[in-house]
Amino acid sequence: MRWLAPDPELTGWHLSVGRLSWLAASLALVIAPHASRMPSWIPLLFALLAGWRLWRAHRGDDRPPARWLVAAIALAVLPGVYLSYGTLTGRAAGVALLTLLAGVKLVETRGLRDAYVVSYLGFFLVITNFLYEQDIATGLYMLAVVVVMTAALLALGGSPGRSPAMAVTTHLRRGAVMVAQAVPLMLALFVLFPRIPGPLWGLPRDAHAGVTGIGDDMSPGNISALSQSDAVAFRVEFQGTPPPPAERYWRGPVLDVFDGRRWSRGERPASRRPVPFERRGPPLDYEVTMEPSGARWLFALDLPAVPPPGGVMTRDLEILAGRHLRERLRFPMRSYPDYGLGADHPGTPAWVVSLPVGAHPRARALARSWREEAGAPGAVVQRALAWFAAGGFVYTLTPPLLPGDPVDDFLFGTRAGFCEHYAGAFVVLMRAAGIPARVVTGYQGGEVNPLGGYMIVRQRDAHAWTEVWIAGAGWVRVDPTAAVSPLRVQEGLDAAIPPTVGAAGLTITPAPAVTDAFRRLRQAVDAVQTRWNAWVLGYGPERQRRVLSEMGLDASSYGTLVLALTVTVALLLAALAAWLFARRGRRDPVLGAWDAFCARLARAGLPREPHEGPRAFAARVAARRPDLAAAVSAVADAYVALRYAQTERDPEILRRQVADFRL
Amino acid sequence: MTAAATAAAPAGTVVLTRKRVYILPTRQGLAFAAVLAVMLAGAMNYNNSLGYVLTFLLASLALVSLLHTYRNLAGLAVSARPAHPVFAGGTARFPVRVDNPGGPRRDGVVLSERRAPGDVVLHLEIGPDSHAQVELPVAAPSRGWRELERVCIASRAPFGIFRAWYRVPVRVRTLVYPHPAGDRPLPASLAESREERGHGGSGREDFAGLREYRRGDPPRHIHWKAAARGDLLPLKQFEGAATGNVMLRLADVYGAHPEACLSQLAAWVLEAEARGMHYGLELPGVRLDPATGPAHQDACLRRLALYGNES
Repeated sequence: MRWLAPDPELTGWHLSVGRLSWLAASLALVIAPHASRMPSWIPLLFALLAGWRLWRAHRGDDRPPARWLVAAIALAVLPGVYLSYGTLTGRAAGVALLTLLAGVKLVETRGLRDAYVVSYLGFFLVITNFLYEQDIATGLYMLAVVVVMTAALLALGGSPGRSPAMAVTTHLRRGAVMVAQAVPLMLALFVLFPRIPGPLWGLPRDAHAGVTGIGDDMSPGNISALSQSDAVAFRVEFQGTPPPPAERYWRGPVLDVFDGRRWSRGERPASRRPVPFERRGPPLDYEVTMEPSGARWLFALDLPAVPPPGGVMTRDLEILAGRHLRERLRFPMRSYPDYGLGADHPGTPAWVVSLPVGAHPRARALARSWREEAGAPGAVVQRALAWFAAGGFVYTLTPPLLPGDPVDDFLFGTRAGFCEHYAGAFVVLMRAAGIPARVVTGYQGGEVNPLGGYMIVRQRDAHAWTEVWIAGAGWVRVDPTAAVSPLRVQEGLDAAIPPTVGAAGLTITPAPAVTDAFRRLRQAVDAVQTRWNAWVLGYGPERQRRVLSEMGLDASSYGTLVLALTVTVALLLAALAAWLFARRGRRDPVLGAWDAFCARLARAGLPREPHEGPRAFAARVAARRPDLAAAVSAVADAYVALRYAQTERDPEILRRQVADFRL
Repeated sequence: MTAAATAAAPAGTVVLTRKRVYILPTRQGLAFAAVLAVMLAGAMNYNNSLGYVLTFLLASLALVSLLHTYRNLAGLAVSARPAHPVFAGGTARFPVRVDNPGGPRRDGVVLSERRAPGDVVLHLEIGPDSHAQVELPVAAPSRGWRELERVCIASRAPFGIFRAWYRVPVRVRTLVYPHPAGDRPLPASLAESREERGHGGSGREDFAGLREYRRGDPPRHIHWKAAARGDLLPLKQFEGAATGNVMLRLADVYGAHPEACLSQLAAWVLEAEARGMHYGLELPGVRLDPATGPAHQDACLRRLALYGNES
């Protein structure tokens, strides 16, 4: 079995302290970003194991640690991870196990094979970081880590044995050069490698932990919880001018069932077609890029005309994606801001007027009195909004708790609430007055980024408003929050809520110039982030097809892609090879001329012996061919002068002499 | 090992043109490919764009390293010269010269005869426009011609995931003399009787001094007392009286294994030369008249080396 026999070319290979340090350093760098996500004992144990191994190597102790000790550590790791995570599978526990495995492996690493295993474990740990973060900073950091790991690989693969430890910077520079040479090929592979819509197998349950967004229902507190978050909900690129702030209502789940505290969606058979609506004005065309929310809801401006590819539209013009948003989704939309919906009939079941039996007696009484006094539904709506505007209501992120009847307590007691309080209470009042009404949740607002020419809608723009049905006009959007705090709708949350931090009452009001500069910086960062999201993170099967069809390639056939990929990679490799080998041609012109001269004499039967210097050779040639004596000695003298004399001479002299030399 | 300047490559040089260099992934390279496959599957499963980026970057890095490994050998010029003759069981040292005409610096170039277990592997580093001159030790187990038909020049730099190699046909050989062995005393010289000489080195031999022991010297001339004082093996040299003529005949050592006979003859040749005697050699079909001196010794040993397989 020659294959398994030790390779004599590798017998001198020794895991020197230098090589070991490269391995330990690259592992430490790749584990560092994980450290904050793990129980602290895991990175600590890794550091201990790596430190122990380095310390022993430093003392020249190359013996493997006792086998039972390694086995004991390896066995202790499993229950340790299980105790910390409650499982041994999944993303978090898997990364913890890999980290500790790298530590244990480092401890027992001695030979070449072990060293490569450790190095490959490092590469694998790089990819686990991307399961958590894929932003630009992570990308750049990991690029630097890959350069270090390449340098480590150079240290492993370089001359074995006692070769002088190459300086750290030399290795790093060579590593960086090689990574730079690999980048064009990587780009070709990234663009052309056929993308498959994943997943290939099941994802661990915690694969997408921690994503938030608007949910399927609404109760006091859950939208105000979102308003604390600066996270981007989605970004929008308009083809024309974006609508004014007051019209930026991004429609989400429509809630029409109320149990006295919680609003939810009624039973809606999927087969029900969207209610047709009257399109009055010109449409707005735009593209929405949703961040992964973990839910299926997509958001579009009131009112969306058709569902995006792969999505469906419900009867109440909500849009659902084909599957849960585990990754960023980009979809085109068309909306009609000026519309008439359900003018002749509410088009919805009777529960749009129903209320929980016996609940909210005071609200019902108030609504009934309005109905009796005002008469027409439109007038009742106006009465209610006026009542909100004049009733001493406060718009606040931190409303007091409503332990009793949430509607009556809010309307007649605390009078302090967030949009979900106002929308919910308003719909209760309308229904009590006999007017069909429902809650619409979604986002309101959006900040235009002048650098990217797109709009950012953040989680803090989450909002709830209402729709009331008025015969002849249909479903009309009414935003009771606007009656209480017009600034919320006009200028967004920052303008509507004074910058007071919680109960501490501490007020921090930054100077306007500072906030402005900060806002511009944030916009610049977001513009870069958006390109990154679209072109790097969002480069899936969909975008690949579009990009390649713009290049004239039919991306739907894998054959075409593979052919294009092969040709591109071959061309790039050939170009790199030509560049690498061309440097071979850059040689000493003096030596080149001398070699050419010797080669010509060798062809004439007068080869220069390896031991012969130029003058000895010339003398021998002169003895054999007296006719050439003068010319040969002239060339030899010129060569010697150029090669060994201290003074600078023009190599051209020798070249011309060789060219003129005739046998 | 590395000279600053190089002259044109000597005759018989093989240049490693690009067509001549072979390259294949090493075991570490295959493992790397397996790791990349797993990473690609992971990136696909999680639809992880940076996972794709990393996998593709590493794959590209591997391809780039293939070119670098290849370039580490391409363009080198290899030549070898015959080694000095050695005794069987010894090590022949073939001078091998590797020229790097105008190329980049070559690191991690290894040279061996066959990359077989037990082969000596030399590690070379050759600067641009420079050359490395090394002696490749190869085992010479039996007498006769020891041919160095090819030398295997290889490189795994920079990463060790590819190995480029070429088995350069250098076609040089050296003569391997029989291993000098055997404890039979020298045959009686033509002028004196064996009994007169005895074993203790008495009487007619004049002690002439000490020199360092060389393989093939008769062990009985080692000056053991002096050896106990230092680490070199001093050898007693004699001259003067023992200048008798002796004829070394294969017929005198018949009976033993043929190779053992030749070994005994070789030992006699060395002993006789060390004593400064005139000695001749007589093998079936071969007769060398008694003479003395290194050239004569080499001629005798050469006959012994090639006995039976002269070519």
